[in-house]
Amino acid sequence: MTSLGLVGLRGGCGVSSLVAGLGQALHALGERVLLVDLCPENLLRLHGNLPFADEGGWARSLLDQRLWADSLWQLREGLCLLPYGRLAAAEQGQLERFLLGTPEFWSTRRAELAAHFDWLLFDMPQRLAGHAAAGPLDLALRVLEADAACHALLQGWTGEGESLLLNRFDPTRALQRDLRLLWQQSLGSRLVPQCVHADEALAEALANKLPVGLYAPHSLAAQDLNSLAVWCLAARARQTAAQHGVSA
Amino acid sequence: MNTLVRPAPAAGGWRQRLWPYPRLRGEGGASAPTALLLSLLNLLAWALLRLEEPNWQPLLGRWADWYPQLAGRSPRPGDPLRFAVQTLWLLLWRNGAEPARPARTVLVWRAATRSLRHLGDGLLARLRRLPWPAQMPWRRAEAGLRRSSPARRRAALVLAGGLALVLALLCITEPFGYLAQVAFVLLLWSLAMLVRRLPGRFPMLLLVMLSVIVSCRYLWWRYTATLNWSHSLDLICGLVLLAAETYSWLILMLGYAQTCWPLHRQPAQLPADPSLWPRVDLLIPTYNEDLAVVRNTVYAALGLDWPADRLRIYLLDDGKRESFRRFAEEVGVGYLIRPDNRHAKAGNLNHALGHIDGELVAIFDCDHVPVRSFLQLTVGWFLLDPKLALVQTPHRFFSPDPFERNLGVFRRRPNEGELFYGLVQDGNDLWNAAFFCGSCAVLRRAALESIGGFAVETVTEDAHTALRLHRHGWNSAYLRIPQAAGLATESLSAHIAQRVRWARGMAQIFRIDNPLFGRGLNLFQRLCYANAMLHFLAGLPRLVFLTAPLAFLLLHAYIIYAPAAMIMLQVLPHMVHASLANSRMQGAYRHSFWGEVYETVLAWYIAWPTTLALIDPSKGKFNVTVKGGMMAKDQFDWRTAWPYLALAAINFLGLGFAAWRLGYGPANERATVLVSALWVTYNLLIIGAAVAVAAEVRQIRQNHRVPARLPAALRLADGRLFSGVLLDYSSGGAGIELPLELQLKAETPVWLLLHRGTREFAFAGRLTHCLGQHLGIRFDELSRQQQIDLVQCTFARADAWLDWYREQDEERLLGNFLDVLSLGLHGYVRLVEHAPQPIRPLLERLLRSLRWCASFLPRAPRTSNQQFSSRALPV
Repeated sequence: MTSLGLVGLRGGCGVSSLVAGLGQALHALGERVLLVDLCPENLLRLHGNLPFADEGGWARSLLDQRLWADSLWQLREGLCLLPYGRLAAAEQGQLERFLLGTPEFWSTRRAELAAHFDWLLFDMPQRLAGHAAAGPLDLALRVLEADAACHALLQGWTGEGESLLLNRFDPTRALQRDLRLLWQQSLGSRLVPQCVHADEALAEALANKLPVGLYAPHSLAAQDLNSLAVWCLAARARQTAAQHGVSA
Repeated sequence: MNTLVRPAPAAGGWRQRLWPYPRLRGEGGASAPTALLLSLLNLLAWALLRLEEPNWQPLLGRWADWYPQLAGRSPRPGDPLRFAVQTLWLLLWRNGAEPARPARTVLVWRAATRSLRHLGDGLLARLRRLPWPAQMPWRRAEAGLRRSSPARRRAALVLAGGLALVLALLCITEPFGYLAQVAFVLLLWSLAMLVRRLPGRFPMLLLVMLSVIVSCRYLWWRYTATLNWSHSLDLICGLVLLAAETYSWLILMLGYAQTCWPLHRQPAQLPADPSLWPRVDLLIPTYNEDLAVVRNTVYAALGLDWPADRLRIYLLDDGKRESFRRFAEEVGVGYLIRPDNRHAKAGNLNHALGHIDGELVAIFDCDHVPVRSFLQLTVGWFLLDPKLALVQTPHRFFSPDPFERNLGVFRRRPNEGELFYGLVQDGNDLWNAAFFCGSCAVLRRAALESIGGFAVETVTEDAHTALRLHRHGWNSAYLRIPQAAGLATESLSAHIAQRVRWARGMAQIFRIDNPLFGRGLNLFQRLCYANAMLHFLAGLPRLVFLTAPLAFLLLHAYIIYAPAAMIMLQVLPHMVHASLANSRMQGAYRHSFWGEVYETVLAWYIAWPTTLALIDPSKGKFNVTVKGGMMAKDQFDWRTAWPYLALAAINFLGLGFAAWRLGYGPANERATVLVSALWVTYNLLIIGAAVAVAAEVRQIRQNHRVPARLPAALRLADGRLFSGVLLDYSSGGAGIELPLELQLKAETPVWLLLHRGTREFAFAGRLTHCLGQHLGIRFDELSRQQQIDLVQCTFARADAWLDWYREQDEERLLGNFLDVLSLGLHGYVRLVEHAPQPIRPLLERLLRSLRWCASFLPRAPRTSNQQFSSRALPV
């Protein structure tokens, strides 16, 4: 099972939409996918057409000491979603402290999940370090947009093992084209060659409570996510081959 | 009879089926006698054949497919005859069900020979199981030859060559009687047919060898047995024809030698360190062309994959225009002018040579757009071979030339230049004789300086420069990967003017710097250059061929003094084997028999300039005035076409004489008259094809569209984006196919997103139309940088011209022969359409009666699931 985490370079980069869309694209390629929302905003569930009033989630179940299975939703055969749940601010702080103290929280549950899923996608918060500690990730994608703020933040980014994914790319804007060219030349292979375009279909998909691959399968954003899913499969294969090479 | 004999009972049931008279008169619209006749025949059919039986139903159900000329039309009096002819043809010839299945005769033949083939397979299997020696005797001999000394090797080769020569002479000069000739012809023909579809080079060489034997025998026979020495008129006509035949034989042999083994040179690898790459100056000479045309070339040149500090681009403007100077300054390329305009393009280039200092010089005509990989593919060879002076690449055209436009065969048949750029130059390359074609090439500056710059003495300075380079010991190379494309000639007169200039120049070089004499060239280089030049002398021989049979029909001169049967037995194998060998060698680059059309179109116009240039190279300015520009409407180019019409008129006269001689001439000459009449008919059809080319077709588009299949995306004003496939592009617009239907109105603002490598660009435009999934886009006013980006995303892609062949029809020998002949008929039809008013009604009436006769011919049945495929709109 491969764990893939997406986190933004700064807030508001559209990570949740990407997690939902990428998960659906991987599922369309025949993989069994589990989407896990680690963000207290609890927005990932809205991409899966979950009822808005539902307050369940893994964090809610953890605090209420109930079984997680009650809050796991199946969107399709092989595509499941685990929402965060509705927590008050104090509860969020409490959970944050707990997670900071147990860094192996998610890695211990991985073995169980591996039996049922090929991919584990985490929607990681940008700010809370404890929540974002999803254990050692096989693939980590840091999502950014082509603007000056992200360029400034990139200067302080070390990002071992992280790849950069460009979201909301608009080729009609000269600044975005120039920044992308600059990053392609300075970051090389650290920047994922496939970007996700600024497509109104992404915004409308959330408004329709669907991942973009189901809402507008012919849109360019859906095609981008399909290509990104293939890139993820290739990255997984590369890693597997590297591991076998090392062991052999 | 389309409403007769239907399977399903219509309203009225049996009475309607047996007596369809009312329906024929009403729905069918037939006249009373016709309807009566057809109804009687129908009744007879129902009475004699039991049409209600289930066996008949499949036939009756697919009536419209089996009889396409009868279905869907109102009944005519001649329909019973048409029906009978079609039925006979279907029974005897066509299987009918699927056209892919072979004819009945072939199936019968295969069944009969099945036992023979099994025997053959068994023998072969047994042979394989025999204990063969580890190394075959001829391999041992070859190894032994390699090991021996050069002197012994030469002796062995001379001995083998001498023996082969003696045997060949014996074969060629031995006279045959009728029986021996028939046996010989059948034997060689069956051998050729067996071998012609086998893959590989060896079968091709075998076909070439058979053709050489047959053609040499033919020519020997003509020289020794077919001249009438007693009668002076016969002798003169016969000698003229013989000279023309000798010319075409010579061209055939030289052509075989030149192209039997194309080199297929691959690009050479450049060193990994760009600092070792040489400095290149790219020159774009221009005189009076539009800035819009030159712009694309400059934009594409700016995108060449080469270190920026090692590439300099220069615009050489002989027109000294201010707009060009400003353009060069804005874009950042060099701009060179000179004080005078002597020696046209060659002088322009020579002047520029004095102002540049790179090691290599790349030359592009102002309308040839280079792709980004041009330098990286060509320069490698200069580093490998220090004596290399020239690397030439093909010229491709993205607009149709007059042949393709007027005959409607653009992209379905190879372009006229394909043979030269695809095969002939490749064959030349084997012998180190590839020559410069004026554009899309890279030259070494040191080599140019060693010969004193570009040659200025003739009008084809490019071939002359290459000849001089070869004489000074430099090498040349040819890469057959298309790396640039340009505009073809606009009209037939412009095309002819260009070819006349080339022909004059080649004849001038032949006179003043003959490749057969003079130092510096090896034997094969001499032959290749001589072939290239002799090729342009084909005008007079072609005219002789087009009028030769008239010598007998009009003047009663025996130009071939031999019985008609012997003529056929000698001529037919000569033509068939030459066609087979050429079809095999050249089929992918030029479809068979199209060369005849090209030559006929040019024959009159290049005959006189070349003859004059041969006599006195400095004289003559036979340039047909160039009309050029867009063709505003369909018109017939009378001024250019009058030689063809004159030839056609003489040949028609000859046909009339043939008919008269058949009726009133001596009986023993009938066979000869028939043979001559056949020849005249063939000539008439070829001339008809030339006439078809002269009927200019309206050219509706200002910017030529290039077909492609590239990933692209469309962005709408509301922020939605769709990925799609770019179907074609031009500098003013594009056509795209989306995966879904968007009902958008014309003039909707959109953006087209295209890729260049890892970069993406957006171009604003408006929709011209939206039909289903196909959209046409017209670009808005693009900024300079956007125009550069557009050219580099489309025209300058490295693979822009590589898959050009995808839509082409395959080469079929007999099929092409019939196509060219039907083209000839089509040409005369077009001539009638454009005929001047007084005689047009008469000709139209003639045409109608001919069409009525042709309607009795059988047609191929339609396949049941024939769909009219929806091709991409010609946006």
